[in-house]
Amino acid sequence: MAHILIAEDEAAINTLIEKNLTLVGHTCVSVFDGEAVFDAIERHRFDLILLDIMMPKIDGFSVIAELREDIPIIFITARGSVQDRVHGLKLGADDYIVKPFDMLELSARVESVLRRAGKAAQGFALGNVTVDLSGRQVFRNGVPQEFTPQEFLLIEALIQNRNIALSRDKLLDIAWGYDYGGDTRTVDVHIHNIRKKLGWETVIKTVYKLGYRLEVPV
Amino acid sequence: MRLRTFLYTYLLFLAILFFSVSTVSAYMTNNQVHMLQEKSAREYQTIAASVARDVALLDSRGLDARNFSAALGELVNSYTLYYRRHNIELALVNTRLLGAAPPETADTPTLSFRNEDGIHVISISGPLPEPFQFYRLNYQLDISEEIANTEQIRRILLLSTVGFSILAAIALYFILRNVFRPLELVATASRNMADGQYQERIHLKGKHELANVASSFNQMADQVEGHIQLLEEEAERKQQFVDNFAHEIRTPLTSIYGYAEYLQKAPMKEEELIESTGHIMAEAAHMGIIANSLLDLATLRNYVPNIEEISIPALFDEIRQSLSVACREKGVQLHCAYSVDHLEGQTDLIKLLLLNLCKNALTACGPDQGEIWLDANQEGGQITLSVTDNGHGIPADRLSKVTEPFYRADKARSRAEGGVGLGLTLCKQIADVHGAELLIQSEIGRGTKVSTVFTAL
Repeated sequence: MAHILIAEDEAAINTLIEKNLTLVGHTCVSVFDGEAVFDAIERHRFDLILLDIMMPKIDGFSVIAELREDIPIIFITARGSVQDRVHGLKLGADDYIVKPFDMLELSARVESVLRRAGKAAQGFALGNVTVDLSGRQVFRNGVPQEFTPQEFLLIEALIQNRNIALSRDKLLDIAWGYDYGGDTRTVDVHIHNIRKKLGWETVIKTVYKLGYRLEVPV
Repeated sequence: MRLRTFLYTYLLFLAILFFSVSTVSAYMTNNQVHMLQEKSAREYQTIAASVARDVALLDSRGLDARNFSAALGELVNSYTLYYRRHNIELALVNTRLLGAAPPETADTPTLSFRNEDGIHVISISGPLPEPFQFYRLNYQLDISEEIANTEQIRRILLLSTVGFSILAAIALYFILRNVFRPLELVATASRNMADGQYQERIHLKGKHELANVASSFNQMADQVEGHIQLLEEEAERKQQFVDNFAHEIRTPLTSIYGYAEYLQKAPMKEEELIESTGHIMAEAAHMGIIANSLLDLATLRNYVPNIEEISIPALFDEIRQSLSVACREKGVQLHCAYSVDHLEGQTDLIKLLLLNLCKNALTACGPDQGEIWLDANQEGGQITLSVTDNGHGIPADRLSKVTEPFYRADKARSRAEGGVGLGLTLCKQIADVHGAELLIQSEIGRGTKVSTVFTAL
């Protein structure tokens, strides 16, 4: 998975982002001001930088402007003004996240920027199950398993948001789209299929009143 | 306006000019005709006298009728030939031969002026002197040439008048442009001001009325610009406040929402539960402090303090007690000194002011060698309370902003100490309602001195 630099001066938020990204399988380095970004870049090779705009010493915009290395950047801003966003994107940022943000938004944006940069994970392995994300195939003990397109989308969403509980509504949206009028029990049926075919009865946890979570040791 | 003035002035000018010119030329023509008539009359008299003399001479020779008329014809012929060279036609008519009755009345020469097909003629007809009154002498002077000359002069006069009129129009245009330029400057400046360019001024020299208008206009512009600037600054401050407030609220909100979501969605571990709820509670408490501080600020706006006598030694004691724990933890020494015992003000507010200033000083102080001086002095009837520290100081460019809401000279340190960025704003507000002034002096690495000078009370 990706190696990500988190530049955010609010310690609580920095830790929060780190926890979230670690959960879904990334490794992180945290810095708390703009100057430290450049030090960290010299020591590590990062796949992505999450950059707060309002930071001590050197602000995020200046960091983007001065950065020479070709690393994808998502900037984080508390000010949601259009000018700020446009300014950041013009400077070469790949995406932006406005505070307050939720976990799924964060992981989705990180995932999409990584994919665009060609740095997204191509596959996933857990026990005797391997998933070829780009080839859209699932193997159990090396034997391909048959899944409907919706079921594969569910597996993909669970893997990308591993260790994060996804609500039934969210899963329904992901696999069937917003305009699907179906019942959330449809999700239960397909999750049951996936569990049975992959032997994931304990790997996909049912979260009380919420939905499902793919639990993977961090 | 300029065009109208130009038209009216020019029309008036043209009317006067053309009236004068036509009057003069009419007078000239009349005068010339008159002179020619007088000249003709004199000439006629001379010719008539001369003809009469010659006729008398002929008569005295005693010729018979035939010879007399032949001689007379010769005589008249020679006169005619002579005067024809002077454009004068003469004729002598014997009225008796024509059978006309001799004139009864006193027959005087009659003068007439005719104009036939462009040929102007003065004709005089009258009898010869006695005794030859039955002879009529007809005299005709052709004055076409003189009339034509006069016409020529009139034409030249008219042409030059038209030329002058055009020149006058051009001159008038430039004069009016000069005269109206100040007015146009005023008009342009007013228009620009109406469009929001409040820095517009009129530059006019001299002491005439328009210069006065310009100077009044400039004064008005100064006033308007000043007011607009104040309003803009006020609006900017408000906007800044709203922006800062939104930012201040978003940060704890992000933490609260984020950690709550984490608790809900991530696999639970005991230590993460404690850590996350700890963040949530701390941020909620932080928001509580912001809310209270904002409420204090709102209450203090236009607040009239309950003025009472404050004992400075007692006040300093209370502050020393409140801060004793914090001072001990940071290893900071607090020194109190006063040369005045009493101060007029609202006790709890003044205490809050000093506490806030001392907390800022504590934050600024480095560990273990920090010192804070709390002083009360009186100078020229003004009491000054000051809090001085030997901390890291505030950069000069941030000094003017430190009393703005949510502004933090050192964001990271302030947040770490639980500050919300409203302390100095509150202090300034407290100073304001007491009619006091908050003065901040600072030097990087040397320390900061915040003085509250009580001027009005």
